[in-house]
Amino acid sequence: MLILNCPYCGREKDETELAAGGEAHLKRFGPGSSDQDFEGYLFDRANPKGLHFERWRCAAGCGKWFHAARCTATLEVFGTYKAQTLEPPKTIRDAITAKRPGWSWRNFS
Amino acid sequence: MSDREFQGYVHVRQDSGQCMFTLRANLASTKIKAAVKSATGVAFPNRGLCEVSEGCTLAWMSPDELLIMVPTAQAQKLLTGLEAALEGLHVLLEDVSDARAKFILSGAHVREVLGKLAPMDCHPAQFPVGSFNRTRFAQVAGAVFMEQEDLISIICFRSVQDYVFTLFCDAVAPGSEVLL
Repeated sequence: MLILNCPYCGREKDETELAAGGEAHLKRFGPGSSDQDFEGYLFDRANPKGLHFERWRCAAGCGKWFHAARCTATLEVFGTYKAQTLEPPKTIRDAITAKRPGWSWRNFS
Repeated sequence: MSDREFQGYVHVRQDSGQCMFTLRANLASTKIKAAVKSATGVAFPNRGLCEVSEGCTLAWMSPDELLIMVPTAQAQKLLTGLEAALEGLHVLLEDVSDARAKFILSGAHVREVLGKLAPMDCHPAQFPVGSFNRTRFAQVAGAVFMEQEDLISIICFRSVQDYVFTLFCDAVAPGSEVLL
């Protein structure tokens, strides 16, 4: 059972109370962007075995969207953080580095 | 709405004598906090908690939502006072009494009954008296607050009140005690 701590309400929520929102930190390409960028924004998703950054919603709780860094293979959670950010905060990066030295994910490392 | 009840190893009762108001606003704002406190006379609840004073309850629902519960007799006076106090601030205040149902569980084993139906840690260290939590009861969303060590209030949508009442009656059925 995946258990995440919602950074807004501060409660431990298991996956039955959460709604998965797919990959985090997507950059939106809207009208006026190239076909390739738009296609990438719509369809190009990472599906790693290992470290992943995801969006989750505290659906049966406070209703807020938040981000989580976790391992898709072991369900180990490195941390959760608020959604009002364009990149993982330093505390989360450090927590991942402590467990998985030399990690990289998309443009982050 | 009738106040139905059921006596199992914990007592389940519907409480239709409460009015509920939802306040959507930035709860971190000191102006909002001061206005709510002056209108209700209740201390402003911190994250995950609820505060009660003279029958009026304030519950922290999310960073931008506050639930105000008050006995029906005091409701109109409180609503008028709140509207006046919040005048000019960026808020949304709505009477949601008819959209919600409230149940009261009472008895020594309320924590166990809650633990049977909600995926939450009901241990006194994690969920002490005065705590408030939004979660789900079996298949439907709901909220719970720990009023006293042997008294829990349950809030759910009115549309699922029959389901929730039946659910809790089943969970408190004599013979179904776990008593760990």
